[in-house]
Amino acid sequence: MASFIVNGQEVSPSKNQKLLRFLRDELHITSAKDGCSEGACGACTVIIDGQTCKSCVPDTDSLAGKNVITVEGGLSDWEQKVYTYAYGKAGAVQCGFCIPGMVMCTKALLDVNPEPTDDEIRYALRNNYCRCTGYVKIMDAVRLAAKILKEGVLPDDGDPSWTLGSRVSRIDVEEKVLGTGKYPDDYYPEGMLYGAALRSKYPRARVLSIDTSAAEALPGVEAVVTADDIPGGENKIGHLKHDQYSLIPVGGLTHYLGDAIALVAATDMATVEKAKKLIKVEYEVLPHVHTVEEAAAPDAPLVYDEEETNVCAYKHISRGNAEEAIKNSKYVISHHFETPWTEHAFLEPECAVSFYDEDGDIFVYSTDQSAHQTLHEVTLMLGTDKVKVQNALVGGGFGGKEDMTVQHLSALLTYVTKKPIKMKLSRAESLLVHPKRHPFYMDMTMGCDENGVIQGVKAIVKSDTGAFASLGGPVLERACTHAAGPYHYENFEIEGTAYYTNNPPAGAFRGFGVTQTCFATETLLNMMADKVGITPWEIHYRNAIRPGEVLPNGQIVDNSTGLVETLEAVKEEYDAALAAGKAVGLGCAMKNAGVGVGIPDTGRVKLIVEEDEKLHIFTGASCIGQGLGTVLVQMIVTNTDLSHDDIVYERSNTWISPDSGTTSGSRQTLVTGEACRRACEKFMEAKNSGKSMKDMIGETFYGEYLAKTHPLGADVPNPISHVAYGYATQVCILDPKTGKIEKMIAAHDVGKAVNPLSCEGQIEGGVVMSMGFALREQYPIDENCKPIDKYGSLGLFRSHEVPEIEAIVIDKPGLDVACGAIGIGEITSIPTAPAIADAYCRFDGERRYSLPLSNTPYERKK
Amino acid sequence: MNEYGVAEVDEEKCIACGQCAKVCPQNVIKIHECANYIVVKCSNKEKGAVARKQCEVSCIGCGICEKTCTAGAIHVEDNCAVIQEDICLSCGMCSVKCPRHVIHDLRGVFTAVR
Repeated sequence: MASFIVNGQEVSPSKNQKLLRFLRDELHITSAKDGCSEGACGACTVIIDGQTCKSCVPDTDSLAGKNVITVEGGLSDWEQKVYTYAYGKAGAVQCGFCIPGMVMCTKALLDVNPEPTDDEIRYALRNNYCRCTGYVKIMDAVRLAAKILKEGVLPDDGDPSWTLGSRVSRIDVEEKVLGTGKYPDDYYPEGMLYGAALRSKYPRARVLSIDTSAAEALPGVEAVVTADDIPGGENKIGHLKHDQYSLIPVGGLTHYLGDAIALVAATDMATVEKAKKLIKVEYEVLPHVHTVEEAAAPDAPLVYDEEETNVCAYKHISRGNAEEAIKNSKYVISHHFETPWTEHAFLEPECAVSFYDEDGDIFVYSTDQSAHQTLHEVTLMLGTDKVKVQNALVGGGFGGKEDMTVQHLSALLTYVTKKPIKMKLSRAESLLVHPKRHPFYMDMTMGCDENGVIQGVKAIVKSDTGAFASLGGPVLERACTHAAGPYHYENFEIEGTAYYTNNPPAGAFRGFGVTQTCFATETLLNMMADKVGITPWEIHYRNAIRPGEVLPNGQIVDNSTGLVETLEAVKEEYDAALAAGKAVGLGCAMKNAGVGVGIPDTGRVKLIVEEDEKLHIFTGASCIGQGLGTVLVQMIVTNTDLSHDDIVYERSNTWISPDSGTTSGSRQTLVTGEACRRACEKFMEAKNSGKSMKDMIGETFYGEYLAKTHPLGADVPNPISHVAYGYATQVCILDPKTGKIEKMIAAHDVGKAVNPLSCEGQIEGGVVMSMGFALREQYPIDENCKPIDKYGSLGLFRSHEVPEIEAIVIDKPGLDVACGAIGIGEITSIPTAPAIADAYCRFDGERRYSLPLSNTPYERKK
Repeated sequence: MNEYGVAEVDEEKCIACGQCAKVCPQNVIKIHECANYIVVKCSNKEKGAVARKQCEVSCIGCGICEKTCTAGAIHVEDNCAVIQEDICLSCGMCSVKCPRHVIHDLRGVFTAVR
């Protein structure tokens, strides 16, 4: 076997294997992350003989005599300080999963080129994907690192303020830059077994028999588990509707290719894969449902035995009389719109590590969007509440980690084997298994008066929610409540149906139905501008909702409503681009903060003074990369007299941290932020009564906030559907020579920006994500309901393809909770596609009604 | 012309003017993205069995690279592998898997520098 050097130490792997596996499994060098093992994502990047290499590519036998460097041991103390400082100051670190790889690219570049141009920086990063940042601040970090290395001394920032509005470096930068922070895959408990699922061979089939005997007999296999082995609890779990089968039983129906039929636990992955092949499953293959049309047909095969139709959810909302208003409108436009399936493509594939702890509880390290939700579904399945869930670092979610994927299955294997289990999805499994963005098929009609003021909108939308409900119902609901747009008209009617099919499931994904319907609404409004003879900016300005006015959903908006301010913020550049004869497109959006519509929406925070005399934050709110921990620290600094050094953010767990709801609906800054503020009030009462931190050791200060809203259809004239909305205007300017995007301008009203640096990071990341949605990304599924693409062919934007992005963060007071902070998250991904679509229409005269946009320089060649 | 009687480009001197590609009567010279260091060093359009006899390091159009590629960037066209450089992620997986060692890492990390 070959000998080579890793971080200055000579190593000789005992067997030939991919370098990544050797680094992680034998040397426990976990900064090199397993994001795909296909050569796509770049999270496994290391430096070999001075060159960046994806360590999942070479076999160790080919590395004889070579010099391998990783983040842990390959950086000098000085380099560690510089990169930590630069990446933090630039705001380049969000979920962190791509960061060690990016740091390796940075070092490899700066070692040979200490003063790189912007293009050279872009090119150094271009083979590494990031889904959170849009690459903008990572490039800033490289520039800053180059500057500091040249100057030879770290800048002295003094003692910056940490109150709301400060651009501080996030609290978790160091552990993410140096690769010491742990995601579930970075845990290797003693005696750990590997677990994996055998998944259905057919999208729709009856399972007639399962023979696990040959698999069980294979040496190294400790357990093969089927639905019969699920103890006391429920086979069917689910985020809301319990239709998600943990394991398909004999006699049961498979619903998609991702349905698990059996689980294997063995000493290593090679044995697990061999064992899976030895499991004999007999199927009765049945006709499957692949499209919404097939699902809706009168004699359609039923995706679920338990259901009478393939309708998963239906919503009809009507306010005023849209039909009448449209009939009386001077201008009427009607069209059919389609948006595709897309994949979240978070860098970290799903992974859970479970084991029995000293209390005899099943302990689960989880990457998810709520440890309490994970606890709830795991206990539902196991039929016991002797379970603990601890959030590890989460490498991105965007809605794709709201449902259970590996957590409950890993816990089941631990229950059966009594041993520690690691269950990780391969990237191919991740692409197949977790819920995607719903494809939407929309027919929308808009009527306007002679001034372009919207009189009424009517729409019929259909979505394919795939193999289980996931959040298909709420996505449909949100699409319906927001499809009308942030405008002041009263006549709106929408009818929506979500269908089950045997495709992979669809569920929550940043924007949650609004990303899709907004494309239709905004396109119609931009088309109206042409009919009326005014600019898209002007038509948006005339229709924009203002404080005190009534939204189409009946809600009277408060003083924090800043849509007009976002329009005004882009006006100068918009007009200049028009005057220069450039093709310019514009789109507006609103998005709720908090789940709203009467659903329980509570934030809960415990502030505990611990032995170290510091205030520790315990909340069930998951940080999935958006920077929640830093937000809460800043909230506490603002509402107490503590300095940030006196505050420790604890990653959420289920036995101390109180349930603060799921990280979704762009809700944590507002809802958990307000709960935190209330806890601070109690803390300060105690402190102001004369107690010192030492006196208060062991004391808990609890804050809770219910974001109270009216359910849909409530019998009130002006329902409060959501406690707050964020507003945005985005502009797309095309380069007249190349026809590519020259610049994106994104102006966002966030109430009060807690950390403007983090806010910009969310904006830039969201814009790049939805550039992908608008121009290139798809998730094609073949006629056998099988997803076709791999991670590298999804069409995600890369660093050298990103245009100039100007993020404008706008504060507007008016929200009376959370110190006015509305938050941001999903809305960054909503107005982008219609803005880009409109720009291309002005460029070549072709109006496009479906995504991804056809006939652009970005279009993927077949 | 190098010692094998084959035209060879000195990448340090090349300014990508494209003249050689225009002029070559066999159409075997392509302008390539210099930042992409994974390259297919063959343009033999003969079927596999023939190509194998003609040269030790020829592409035989087996398609392993195409099946492996995560980005869908390499395809067998006219019996020879071709990389679509704007979507190639330069991961090198194809160069590691190629049974004929036709696909090279110009940096010399995944494959030896000739």
